[in-house]
Amino acid sequence: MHWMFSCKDVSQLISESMDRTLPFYQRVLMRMHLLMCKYCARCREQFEAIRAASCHAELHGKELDDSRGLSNDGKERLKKFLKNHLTGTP
Amino acid sequence: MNARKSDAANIDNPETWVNEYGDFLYRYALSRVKDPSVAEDLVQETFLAALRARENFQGRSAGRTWLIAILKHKIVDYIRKKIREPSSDKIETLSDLADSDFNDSGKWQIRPFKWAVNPDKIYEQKEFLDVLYRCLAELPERLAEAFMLREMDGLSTEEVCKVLDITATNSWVMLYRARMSLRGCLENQWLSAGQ
Repeated sequence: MHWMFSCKDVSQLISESMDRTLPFYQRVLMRMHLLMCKYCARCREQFEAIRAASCHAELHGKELDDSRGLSNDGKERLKKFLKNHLTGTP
Repeated sequence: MNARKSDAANIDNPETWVNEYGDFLYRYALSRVKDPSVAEDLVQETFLAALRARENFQGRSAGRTWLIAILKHKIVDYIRKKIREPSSDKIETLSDLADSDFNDSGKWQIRPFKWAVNPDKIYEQKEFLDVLYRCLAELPERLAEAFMLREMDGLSTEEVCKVLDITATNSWVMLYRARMSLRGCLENQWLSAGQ
């Protein structure tokens, strides 16, 4: 990586900074680039929005289309499975 | 308060679990593993583990939250086992996924747009979440697994590496490519829908 980071380099560093602590010089050069480049700053906002949305994925699960729920057969199989375990039937 | 009481009552009565939580758990599992029969097996394993651990539950969290936490462990176990099998989209073949976003000198080909989302209230933006789900479904399998283990299951990158049997460098590359793909897909599908 050149000492002046390109937008491509910075987009990689933004992502890496979400998964590990970057070395000091990379952190400084990334921040300098972000101050000067609004498109990379937007990329960072977008990565953060994607992270925030992903954290709520399970809340969203209950709103998914009903057609993707368990089939009636599947429900019966699970009920039978639970009943067998509760009564100790193999 | 009533909802909490009724949730605790449901957890105390496993015979109600399928009706109360079955669809929710199944949908979550299906969004992660794609195969309906595997998703059903994961729900069954979740119920079995919950039956065995029921005495330790003691209503410290909502029943739904407790069951989804168990399901997440089951999904991670499933991925850990599956990852030992041959995969069609190895890391090497994913190398050019994000390259089209930049020109030869590393500048943006298509400049990122300003998104009208508030990260603090993103759970209220159903359309954004809908598109994110669609985009996740389009990601290559290995990238989607790395991304979901990290961002949905909250695993550290070290844990993601262990589950997927990859190096730390590979995990950073995969997570970068997943985020870039999702970013591009959201710009295409969400912004074009008029956000």
